[in-house]
Amino acid sequence: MVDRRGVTVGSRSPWGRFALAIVAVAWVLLPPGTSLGDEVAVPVALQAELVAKVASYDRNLASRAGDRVHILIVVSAKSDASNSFAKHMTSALGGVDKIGGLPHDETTAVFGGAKALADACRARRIAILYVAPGLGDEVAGIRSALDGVNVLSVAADAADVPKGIVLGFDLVSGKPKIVVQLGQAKKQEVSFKAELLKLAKVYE
Amino acid sequence: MSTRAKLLAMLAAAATTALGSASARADDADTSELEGLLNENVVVAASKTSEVGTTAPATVTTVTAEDLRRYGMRTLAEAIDFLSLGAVTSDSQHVVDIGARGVLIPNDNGDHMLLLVNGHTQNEPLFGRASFGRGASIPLEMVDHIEVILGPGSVLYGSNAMLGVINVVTKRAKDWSGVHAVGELEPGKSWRGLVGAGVTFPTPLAKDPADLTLGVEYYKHDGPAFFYPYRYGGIDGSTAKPYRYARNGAENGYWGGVAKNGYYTRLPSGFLRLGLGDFELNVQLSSFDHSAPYRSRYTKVFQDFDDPDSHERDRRIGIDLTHRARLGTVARLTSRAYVDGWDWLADVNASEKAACLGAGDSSVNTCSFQGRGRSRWAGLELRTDLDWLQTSQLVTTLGIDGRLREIKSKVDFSDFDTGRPLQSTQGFIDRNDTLLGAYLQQTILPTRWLSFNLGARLDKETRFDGVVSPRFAAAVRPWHGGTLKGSFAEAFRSPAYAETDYTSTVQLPAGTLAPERVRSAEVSFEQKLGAQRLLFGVFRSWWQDIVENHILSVPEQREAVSRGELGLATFGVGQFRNVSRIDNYGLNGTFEGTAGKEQQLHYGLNATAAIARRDEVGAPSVPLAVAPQIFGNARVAYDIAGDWPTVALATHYVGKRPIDRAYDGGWPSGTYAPAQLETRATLSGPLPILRGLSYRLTATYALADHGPYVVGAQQVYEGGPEPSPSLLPLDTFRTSLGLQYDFLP
Repeated sequence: MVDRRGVTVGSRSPWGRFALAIVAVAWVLLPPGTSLGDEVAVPVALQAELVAKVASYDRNLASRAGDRVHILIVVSAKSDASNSFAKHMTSALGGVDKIGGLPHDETTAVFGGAKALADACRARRIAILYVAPGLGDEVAGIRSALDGVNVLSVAADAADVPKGIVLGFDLVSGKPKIVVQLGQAKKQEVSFKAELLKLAKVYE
Repeated sequence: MSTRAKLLAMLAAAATTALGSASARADDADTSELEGLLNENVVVAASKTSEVGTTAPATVTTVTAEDLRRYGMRTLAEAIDFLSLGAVTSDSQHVVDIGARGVLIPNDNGDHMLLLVNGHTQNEPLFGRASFGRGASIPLEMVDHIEVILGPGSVLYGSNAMLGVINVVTKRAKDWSGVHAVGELEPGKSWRGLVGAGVTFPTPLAKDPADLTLGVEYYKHDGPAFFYPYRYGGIDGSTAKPYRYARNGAENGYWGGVAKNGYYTRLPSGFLRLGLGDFELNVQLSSFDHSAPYRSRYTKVFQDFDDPDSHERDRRIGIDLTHRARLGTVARLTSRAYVDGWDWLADVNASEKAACLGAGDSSVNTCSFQGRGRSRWAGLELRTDLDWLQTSQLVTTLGIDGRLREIKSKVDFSDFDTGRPLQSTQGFIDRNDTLLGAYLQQTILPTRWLSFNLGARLDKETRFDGVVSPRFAAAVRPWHGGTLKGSFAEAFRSPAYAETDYTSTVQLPAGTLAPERVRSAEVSFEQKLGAQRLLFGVFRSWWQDIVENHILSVPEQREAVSRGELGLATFGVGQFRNVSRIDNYGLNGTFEGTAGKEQQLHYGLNATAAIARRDEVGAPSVPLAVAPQIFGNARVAYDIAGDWPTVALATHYVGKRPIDRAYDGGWPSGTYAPAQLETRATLSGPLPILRGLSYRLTATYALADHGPYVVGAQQVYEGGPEPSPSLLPLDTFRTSLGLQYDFLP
């Protein structure tokens, strides 16, 4: 068949061939690379602004931090997404002037066990522990290890909050939503003001 | 004091009050700054990347699920009218027209606005049709949010994104967990039922649980039974007797009465979204069967009054499978395969002898027009995002989108009583084509207060040479909470196959049609004041090569006859051509926010003022028919604590506008439809008698009782005692009661 511009167009339906082509191309192109399930829902820059603001509603932040807020971002060695998140979050937090009125610094560490992480938080007087994506399977252990450790733990993935991270940011209706695990907050000496909890989804 | 001085003083006082309020709240160390961050919109469709709306390369409104519930929205069109900035719809009963920023092209089947559901294109290729009313077929309870992106969007999406892009994002299981049953009733008019669920469950196929949401809905509407004023249509030239406008009606020449049967909708639909590891599957199904009791200027030139057998049905299936993967620390790959099927049926019955003469036999009592069409398309889109610095400061997006399409349609005419064909099949379209698009987008954030988004897309399809659609956008954040944005973008629309390929005894071949083009420039300024957001923008757009069905003049008909393209010169022979241009400019603004310790008070105001004029060589420049030049909406809601209801009031305004036949109807008067102010009050909340049971009660009142569409046999003025046309009657008062039961395991 020839159209009115003289261009030849098919007269037979090519659906079968096309379906096969899709499968073939998809098979070749879909890589065995790492999962993207580790990506975060709330953009990292917005998370950085949120955590800086929310931390100021923690009554114990000043006493915990002293004269400087030390932030530790813990990553999974196995996850590219985890490492990318840490780099991105470090950059984003670098643009935040102060947290709770205090200067701050950020360091990144590879997760090497929950107990070692808790020890590091105590030894380095970490005020905020950011749990990067890719550590979902380790959250239960981190929660247990942080019992009694004075630190605000923050999950990059809000799904980790019900499992035992104190704070996270979910995306609901295209807007960020604060998520708080109140029981774990008490165990980690985090005391959020009531004004904040009224704006948050709270797990007891 | 002059009026101008008074106005300036009032504005200054209002600004001082607003700023003072925000400042005082911040000093009190309350949560307004935090609320401002929580009110930030996160959008995806503007650049195919998750980003905050403030710096996205377009003006974006996000309509949330909470707002849909709170303000009693029942369709996508209502959500656009009552809650969005810059977009507006107009319901002719036959079709819901959509426009933006003063440009609306009546009966365009929605083909100047790209509609996406979870990123999946809804516009089909035969008419370019996308439904924005009930026909959108997405249960609103399943909608997480709606992104309304104004301005040309072809840079990433190709054809149809001339007015903008509307992306409906559905909920995930975490936001719709459990089993849900919804029933809603408009007494005496409509009802709908929805059953759905959201569940997560482990599978051996992925580390994370599968995430499934699904819903099945049925919507049925009958009436209301509008009264259409009687109009005398005259003498049928083929019988020398007065016209007959109904199958069992008298040959008395009168059209009108109470339409009890011919205004209805039947709409079963279903939607499924399944997330499994890095895969996501979306499946849509719907069958949209509807009828309006009056003839339309466009596709139903002849139609019996209040005939339930004259109806139109769109059926649709869409399957979309997306895979996302990370390739190292820098690259992400998104692969999307999709298959769509759509079919269309239009039955239109006419008992006018003149109509049946045109259909092939004036001796039959009633002749039927039977339009049938279908399109199928399948495609693959591959996109890679390269975050070079892993900080989102330098991201390159590269994508290709290939699509194969099959388009078919035909038109038959038959004797309604016997089914006997009256003439051979017309309007035969049977085409396969290939569409290929490639796009490149670069985002650059050299500093924290400056960002750029640059991109272009090349589209090539079988019928046309390549079309390039560029976009340049920049955002500056000069101080805390303030953002200045500017952008220039171009978009296009490939004419639908019904425009390039449809022919009949009264429709000449289109010849060479070029894609429609639009260029647009806009500047906006946004300021956040705690939990409040203020936006003001100005825009200008230039449209060219607008495709219209040009009605041939007598000399043009003679020429067509001499060329052998037309059998004989007759009335109303059309030919799709690139006819006109549109010059459009205007301003728009938003003020919205929340207040209260628990963000209980919600409010918002959107307003648009625009000038849009149609220009055609040899014709005077005129405002666009049906398109409002001033429109907007306002809303306020209060969530009372505990089991008390949420009280909400939403209103939308559409200014006076020319009717659809303002320029070709020859009417001495009545060529403008009145301004419309429609207000909806909504009460919603839990019913304490049963845990999980909630209600929603709405009452809607519209001031104007007529819309901008001419109804009746007298579509044009040909003399006589009625110098004004009959306009579409509107339902001025509506109520609805909805109940929802959420079973949470």
